[in-house]
Amino acid sequence: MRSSTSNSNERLPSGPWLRTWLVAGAIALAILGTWEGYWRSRGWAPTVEANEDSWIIAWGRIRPTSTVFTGTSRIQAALDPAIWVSELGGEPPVQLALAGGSPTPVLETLAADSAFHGLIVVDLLPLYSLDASLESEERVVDYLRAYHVAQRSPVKRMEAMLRIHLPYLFVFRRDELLPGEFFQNAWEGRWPDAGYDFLRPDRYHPLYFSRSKLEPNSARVNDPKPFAHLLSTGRPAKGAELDSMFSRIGRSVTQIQQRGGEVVFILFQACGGRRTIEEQLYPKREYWDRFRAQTTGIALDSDDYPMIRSQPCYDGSHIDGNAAPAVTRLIAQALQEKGISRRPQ
Amino acid sequence: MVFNSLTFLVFFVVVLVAYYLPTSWTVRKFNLLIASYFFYAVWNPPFVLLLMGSTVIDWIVAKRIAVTEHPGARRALLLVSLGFNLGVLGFFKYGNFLLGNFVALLQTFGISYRPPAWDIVLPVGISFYTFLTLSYTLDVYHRQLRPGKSFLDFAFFVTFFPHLVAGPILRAADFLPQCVEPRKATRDQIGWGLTLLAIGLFEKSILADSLLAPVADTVFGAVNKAGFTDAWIGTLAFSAQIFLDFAGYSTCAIGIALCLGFVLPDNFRFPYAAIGFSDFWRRWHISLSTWLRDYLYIPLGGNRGGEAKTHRNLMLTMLLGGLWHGASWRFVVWGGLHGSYLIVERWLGRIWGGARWLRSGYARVGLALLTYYLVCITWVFFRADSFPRALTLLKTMLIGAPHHLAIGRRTTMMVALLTLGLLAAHWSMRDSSLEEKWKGLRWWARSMVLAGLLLSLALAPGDERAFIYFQF
Repeated sequence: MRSSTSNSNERLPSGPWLRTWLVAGAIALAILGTWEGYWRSRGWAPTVEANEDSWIIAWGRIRPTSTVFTGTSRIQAALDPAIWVSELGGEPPVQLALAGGSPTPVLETLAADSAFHGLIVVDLLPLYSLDASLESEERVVDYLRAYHVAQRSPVKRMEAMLRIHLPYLFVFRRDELLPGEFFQNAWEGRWPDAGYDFLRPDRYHPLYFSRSKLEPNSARVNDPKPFAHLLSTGRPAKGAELDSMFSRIGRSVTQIQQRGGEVVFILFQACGGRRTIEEQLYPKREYWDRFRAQTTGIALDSDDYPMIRSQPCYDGSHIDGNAAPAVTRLIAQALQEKGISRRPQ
Repeated sequence: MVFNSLTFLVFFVVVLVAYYLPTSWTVRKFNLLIASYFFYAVWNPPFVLLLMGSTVIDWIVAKRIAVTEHPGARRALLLVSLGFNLGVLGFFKYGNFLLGNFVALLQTFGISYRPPAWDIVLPVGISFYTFLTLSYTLDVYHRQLRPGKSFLDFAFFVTFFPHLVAGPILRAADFLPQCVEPRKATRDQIGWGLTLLAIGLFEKSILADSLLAPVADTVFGAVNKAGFTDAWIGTLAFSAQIFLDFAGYSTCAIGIALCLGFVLPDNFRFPYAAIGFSDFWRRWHISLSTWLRDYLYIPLGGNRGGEAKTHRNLMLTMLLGGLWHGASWRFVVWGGLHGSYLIVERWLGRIWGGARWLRSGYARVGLALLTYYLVCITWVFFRADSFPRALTLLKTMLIGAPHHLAIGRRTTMMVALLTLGLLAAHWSMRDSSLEEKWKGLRWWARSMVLAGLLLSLALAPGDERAFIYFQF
């Protein structure tokens, strides 16, 4: 019987292989180059894929005195690491926040690390931090597990590095422009508009809403209905469960403070209809205000800052990328006022 | 390290450069050996010792067997090799399975026994390299092969990274002679090798991982919610996925070896165009099926000794072949079903073997479709997480269920078209080969095909899924 993938010399296809491969490479490069150029000309820029790779690499950068950001996508969009460094000095902060993630596993893990005495900035969004279903914690725990696996394997870390930096060179590696998502959208009559979110290799994730189709303070974003699904997901912790969650966080804060470190909690408030729903689920008085009253860490509420409060509302959750540097500066100054000193470079 | 990773790309480039440095043949082979150990160590470094142990023991045992004349001593030496290789395989792969069955057996006698849980990590590729080293010792024992002269060559034969973790399962008689003279890939070998690598990666990353695996995962992950169409689409998706995944790996392995000037045996010959099950097993995982034939079926007596013994030997071979895939009764059932099909086919062959209608085009197509249908149904035991789930899905495939998964019409169409495309491709190349099809293309048409493959790979989603057969 003949074979499908034979490789004996007699049956090997011969021909002008060099020319064949060179022409193939040239065609592929020409098509990719045109595709890349087209999207770049429309204002698109590369982004890193939002998966565990960049998180693993980020965690690997933690040093005993590092500044670590953790929480949800709100802190990823709001705090610009470059501005942070220019205001507060030190090494660039390690961004470990995850969309829909809870900060507690990161906080607890760093608290358990006897060498760590740096600064942790926690985006304490009750929707994900004080959810008794713990689903948002599980995601972060999965990432932590992946980090521990990668820590044992230099090749895994190398693969993660390559997967972050290589696709970051090309716009065509953005999810919206890969065939799967692109053709699905095209099938449904949606043509991608200029990409407005850019996850950078350092996990800073600015969202430039002015490039999107989202209108600021539109009737749509002010309507609670599109966010009503949040009411059926998760389970707000109450009573003893809530006390236990506060204690877990409190224990970690104390451990870190005892070693000379500090923990800052920031509530990045939602806006529009989403705020209505979040307030319904986690009334500020019962959750944030109670937490703020009992924590030994520093607690900041974005509502206390008129500049942040007056930001236009685009998607109900995130601060616009153009405002992020000013917001970062404001937060950094607020922290300096509360005794967080500049760190040596 | 998997072939469909960026790290492998870097590794392969470094290996190619190191291999083609102007040094002696021994140094080049040594470089490849070190690279192969590194390739393996990436998964779990301590398991390299196991690989080395298997290599050293079979090398020494085969040498001793070759110079020993006394039959009893030869048999004892063979038992050392069998004991070590099968012992290691038994412990790592079947330890928990055997223990679990032992506990269950005791329970049937009313004895409650709770042994401490064994946390055994399965060394990747162990089933492949133990079979490879065993075949070497068995060949020397049966005086079909003279032991190699160079330990470096033997270690290289066992460890050569393209085949190490998922085959094809090499034979020393085919590979060791290639290690004697210095090898430098010809332009045709490099050209075709890279083409095979691109085809294999396309099969794995685009077709198997991006398009088919999510569908199979959805259906097999929610068998209780699957309806009639869902169940069939999930099973068809898995049937195509497992072929493209494994054949994709083998194609990559053959291509990579060719780029280094080495020839590996074929592992697949368009199996979904098989007419009957003996034909299927001549086309599916050929290096394993020929291993089982040569080292199990024939030593058991093969088809000598009458129908009953032939049927027994077929069934035993397929049951053990099933168990080779994994420590679970599901794999045993999968193998048992294939054994039953082979027995029924033999029996029907005796009744209808000479019938002219069987040679007509319609009958051949019909029999090929029937074979494919049964192969698909049998895959359910291979893929499902448990017996109850497999039976639930099979029941849904046969009589339907009042459920419906949100797979979507487009996905259903995609799986149906891919399945039809796969069957048409296999049928059209059933008696031909990929090389012959390739030879029929003008150079510019080849460039277009390669450009399409390169584009697809550049635009493939970045998920890195391991090859299914790594777990075996």
